[in-house]
Amino acid sequence: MIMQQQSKKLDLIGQVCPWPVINTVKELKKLNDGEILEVTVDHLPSTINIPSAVKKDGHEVLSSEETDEGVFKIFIKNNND
Amino acid sequence: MSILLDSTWLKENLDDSNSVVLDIRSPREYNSAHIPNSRLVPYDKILSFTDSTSYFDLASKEQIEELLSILGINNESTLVICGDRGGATASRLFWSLAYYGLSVKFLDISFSKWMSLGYPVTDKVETFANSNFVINQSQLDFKVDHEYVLSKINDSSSVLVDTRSPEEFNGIIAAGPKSGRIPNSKNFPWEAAVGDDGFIFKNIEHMNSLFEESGITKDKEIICYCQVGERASHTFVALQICGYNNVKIYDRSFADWSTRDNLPIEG
Repeated sequence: MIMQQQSKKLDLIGQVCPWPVINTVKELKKLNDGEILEVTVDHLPSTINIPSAVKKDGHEVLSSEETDEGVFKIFIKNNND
Repeated sequence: MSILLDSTWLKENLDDSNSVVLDIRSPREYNSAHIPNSRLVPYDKILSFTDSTSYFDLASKEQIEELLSILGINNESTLVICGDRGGATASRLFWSLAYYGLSVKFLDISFSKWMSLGYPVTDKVETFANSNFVINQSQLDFKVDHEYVLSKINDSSSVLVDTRSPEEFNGIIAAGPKSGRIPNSKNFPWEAAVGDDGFIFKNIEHMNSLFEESGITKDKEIICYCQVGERASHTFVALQICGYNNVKIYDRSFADWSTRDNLPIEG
């Protein structure tokens, strides 16, 4: 709950490859170090593709879970150092 | 033998013990409603990957054997893939199982369409007794790597098909560190073969016409790629449906190509 209150939200419902990864990476660049991004997707492969892409950029994936039917929330801690 | 399985036939033959439906939607979607006796395939179980690589490999033979054994599937079964949302993810499952020589078919309509038609569904999540699934077949010639692709860039007997969007193909956007395409590729965005009104694929005549207009002809070897191999799988299945018999996927795709030194990029 605390994570949800403090995070910046990015709604990517309806988006498919390649947009979820592109838009998540783009959004993370706008955040300050340590800020949390809450990404909502309904594209199943994005639950693998997004964590893989952002980890390579040094960000931390805090959690990823299915919160509604086919809808996933991925929490990412920004690390722009 | 047709790759597509007629949904009207399946609706009437849900008790057919020779066919097992594999559902590759999310766990909650499956738990809410699924085709009776179908089995949920977790998406990550058909991939093999690490945090250090930019691509996603096909699951190993042993991983696939374990997955199908946990799902209680017998070697004699015909596997029927059920997908949704255009069918790219389901196509990746189809290609993965077909690569290992398994008997696989593709349900012709999406699960959403199945639901909208009022065909039988259940929310009962059954437990299936484990089986001992063993892959005895030889792997099929459906998968190539970057070295193979490099050797085909200037080979007129092969066609490289980039199934990503025109924006990715033309280097306007990129899902990885580098933009562009593999030289001499032709762009065939995967959605072009997605059918209307809940059908996973367009009809054969329409798809054949689209492929031929794009210079993708049956006398050539066809190598499909995208960013990580998912969208390319849909085009792979579409080509197979149309009777192309020499189709392969560069499954590590542009995520791999663009991060290797000294490989040419166009666009």
